[in-house]
Amino acid sequence: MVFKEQNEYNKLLLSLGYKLENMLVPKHEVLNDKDAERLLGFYNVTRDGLPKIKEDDPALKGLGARMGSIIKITRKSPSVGIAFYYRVVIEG
Amino acid sequence: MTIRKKIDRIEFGLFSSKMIQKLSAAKIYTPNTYDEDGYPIEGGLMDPRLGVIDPGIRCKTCGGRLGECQGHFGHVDLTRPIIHVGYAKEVYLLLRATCRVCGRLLIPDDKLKKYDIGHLSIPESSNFWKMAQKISDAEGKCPYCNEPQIKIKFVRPYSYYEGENNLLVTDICERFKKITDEDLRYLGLNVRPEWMILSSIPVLPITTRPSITLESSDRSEDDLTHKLVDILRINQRLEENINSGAPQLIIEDLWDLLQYHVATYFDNGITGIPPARHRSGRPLKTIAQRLKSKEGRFRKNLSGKRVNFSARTVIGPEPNISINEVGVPLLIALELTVPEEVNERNIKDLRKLVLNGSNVHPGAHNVITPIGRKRVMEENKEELAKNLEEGDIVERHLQDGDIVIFNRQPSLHRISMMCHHVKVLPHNTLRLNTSVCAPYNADFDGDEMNLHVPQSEEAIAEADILMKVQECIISPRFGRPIIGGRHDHVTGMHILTKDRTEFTRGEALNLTGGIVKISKGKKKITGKEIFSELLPTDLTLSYEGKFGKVSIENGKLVSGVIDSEGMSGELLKELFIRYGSDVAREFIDSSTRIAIRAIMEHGFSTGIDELDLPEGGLKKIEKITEDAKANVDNLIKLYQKGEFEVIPGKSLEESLEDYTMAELGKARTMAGKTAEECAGDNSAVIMARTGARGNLLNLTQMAGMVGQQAVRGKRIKRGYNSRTLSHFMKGDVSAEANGFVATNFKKGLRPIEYFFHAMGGRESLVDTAIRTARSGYMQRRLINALQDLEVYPDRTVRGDSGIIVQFEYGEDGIDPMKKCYLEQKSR
Repeated sequence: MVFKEQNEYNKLLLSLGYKLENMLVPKHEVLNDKDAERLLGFYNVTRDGLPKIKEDDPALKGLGARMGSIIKITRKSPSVGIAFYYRVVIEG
Repeated sequence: MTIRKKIDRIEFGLFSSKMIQKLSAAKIYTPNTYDEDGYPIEGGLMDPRLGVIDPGIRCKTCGGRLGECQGHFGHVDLTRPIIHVGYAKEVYLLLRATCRVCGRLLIPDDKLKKYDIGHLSIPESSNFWKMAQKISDAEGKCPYCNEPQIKIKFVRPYSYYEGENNLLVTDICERFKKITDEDLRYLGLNVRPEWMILSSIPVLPITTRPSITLESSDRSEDDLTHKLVDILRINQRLEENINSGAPQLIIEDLWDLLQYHVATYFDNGITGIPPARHRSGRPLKTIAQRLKSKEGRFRKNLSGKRVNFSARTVIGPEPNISINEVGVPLLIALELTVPEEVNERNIKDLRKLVLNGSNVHPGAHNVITPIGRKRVMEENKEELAKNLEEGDIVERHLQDGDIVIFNRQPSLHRISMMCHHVKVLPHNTLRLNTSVCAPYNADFDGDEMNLHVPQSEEAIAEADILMKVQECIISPRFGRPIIGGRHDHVTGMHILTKDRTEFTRGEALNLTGGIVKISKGKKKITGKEIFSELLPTDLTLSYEGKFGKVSIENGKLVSGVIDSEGMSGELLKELFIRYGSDVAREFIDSSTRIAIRAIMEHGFSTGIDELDLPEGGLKKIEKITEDAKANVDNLIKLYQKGEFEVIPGKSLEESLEDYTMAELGKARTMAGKTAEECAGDNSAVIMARTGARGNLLNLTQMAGMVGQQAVRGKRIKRGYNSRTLSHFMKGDVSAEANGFVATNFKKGLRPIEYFFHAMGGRESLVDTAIRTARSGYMQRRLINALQDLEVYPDRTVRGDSGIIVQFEYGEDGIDPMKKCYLEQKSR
């Protein structure tokens, strides 16, 4: 098969269930309900108070994230090694 | 509990002409403002129904007096409608998007029906605009009435042509009236488009355009009033001409003029039309100019405000006051006040202050009792002092020990504003200890600084605890001291603590008198012992100084010499961490004073003769230069033969550049070393080595060799066609043809070298100019974006309404100002 653009190739891969993998994209994972509630309780916020990520964000492809689910992002950080960040999925 | 409400959305709309008339308190129709007696004319621009600007008069609309009545809008009915310049582009887009006859959106019904009118997204409606415009631009046919469309041309700022014909505003208005509300909603509009065309304009209340009475009792009107007079005059002329049946051409000319005046009434800075001018030639300041840019209402008056209880003057140095203090001129202390509440313990003192009046220094300006505020004057000061009661507030002069906030612009970081204690001093400058120049980035070549006096107990306490200079010794930027001895302080302390400095007891007392105590009994006292008196008795510490290891045991300097690392570096940091800010402040205050005495006692000066190198040294440097040049020539030969090793990823030419740069860089380092060795221990070298002022590169350039000049990080290559100057052959890659300066500043540069040096110098000059401008704007945007972020007690960073921005401050939860404590712990 000949692909016009890399994009199309990526789209195909995603449709086949592949996840976005790149050394520059930090690891994204969906928190389960229990962990999500614990997180909200820990920081004493509602979902409105969390940073947001759009449902159609390429990093969420293949993760099965739905609106309202909380994404845990594991980033490399120069100051602490590994830093966690959380985002709530919003309408794309 | 405060109730927080979230703004869901803001909707902007337009006023219809009917609405403008409805909101109006008066119809304005005559361009005359005042009659012969100087009274405002009814129906003129100063109509009394529009509000009051003169004291004692009541508003004809609301009955309020000056200050109570905010003013009321009036309106002018225009003889012919006019395009609102702010919507000229929207008018154009809409003309293109709709049929010229039936006014329907130029999109076939079947395409529209696919979409739900209530839930259109922004990209969807912008798509509709594009689709509709395609038909009219291509001169296609309306899908509803089959009328062929004509391409519409827009000539900025407010003319429209259909094919060749000028479109009249009245015709545009007629077309817009035909557009259905439903079609407009597909385009994302929820206003009637004919409202973008004005047939009435609002007249601003006179309170917003007050006239000023000059000394000669002439009235001078506001720019907006002038502009409105122009509009009314043309409006009247247009009406007269229409009524007398003037030719269409003249009417259209006047119509266009009316359009011009209304447009400049809104914005006098529109490109494409000349700005309306005052009789003197000054452009008028109309509505948009009042609001726009740095001098406009928003940035000048709403986000920026002027304050009371502040002072500004030139600054000067005063090494004998503490770093915590600021010397305030008596003149300023007489003017600024602090409110102090009377209680049983201070009533006697405050009475004295009131008795002193407002013109004698520790005095008072006002007494505030529950009844009211009274100014302290010669006539009533005795009475005021007698009647002073607990609970009254006395606004007294600024006195020694009062707390003020001191600031120097540009306020780039938090330590540009610090809290000082007042010390009232004679003369007219604000005085500060030279050790606090660094955080303010101040010098005394004419710099001015500002002083602010906090007015409430809370503000005073907050400033005192959080912003005091001694609390800011550690910089939040890099976690090391930013305040501390520099320049002569460092040199002085170096001289004092050098090995084998000894003083008799008399000399030692002379140095330390009034600062620290010297124990009795010893005949000879070393400089290190004097310095040790400044340290806490239980301090044990060793650190790497600039002259090797410095070790302090039980508060005694055992070995090592104090340099900038001791005066404003490692040692100061340790004192701050282990003993707190009071000890650190005390150390800075005393050590700098002793250092100054030491340097004065010893004598210290520098001059160009220190750059004289002995014969041997000069020869060595010459040899280094020659060797370097020879090496470069060798490289060039190799390059021409193509024999040397190419650096991976670079071309042959680039590799040659790199090799030559390295070779010439090496030459300068070597020349510098030689110069340093030869110069020995003169003042310039001492200053550079201790970190007091200058560095060895400066000395190298003066005594040894200036070295390779660079533009854009490369050897100088620009200028003539493939050569830098006409003195060289084309394609010359040798050192001297590409900006290598082999001489030094002492000896003097050759003309060609001088030119190359100027090229490099110019670049750095331009860079700094650009950098400050760009970083200033960047700073402004950053501050606007981050101004209401806050670190919460759980170390999350949250925005305005508690929205989380960072889950841990800076990802590590560490305050850079306090990070040195952490390093301490891990050691």
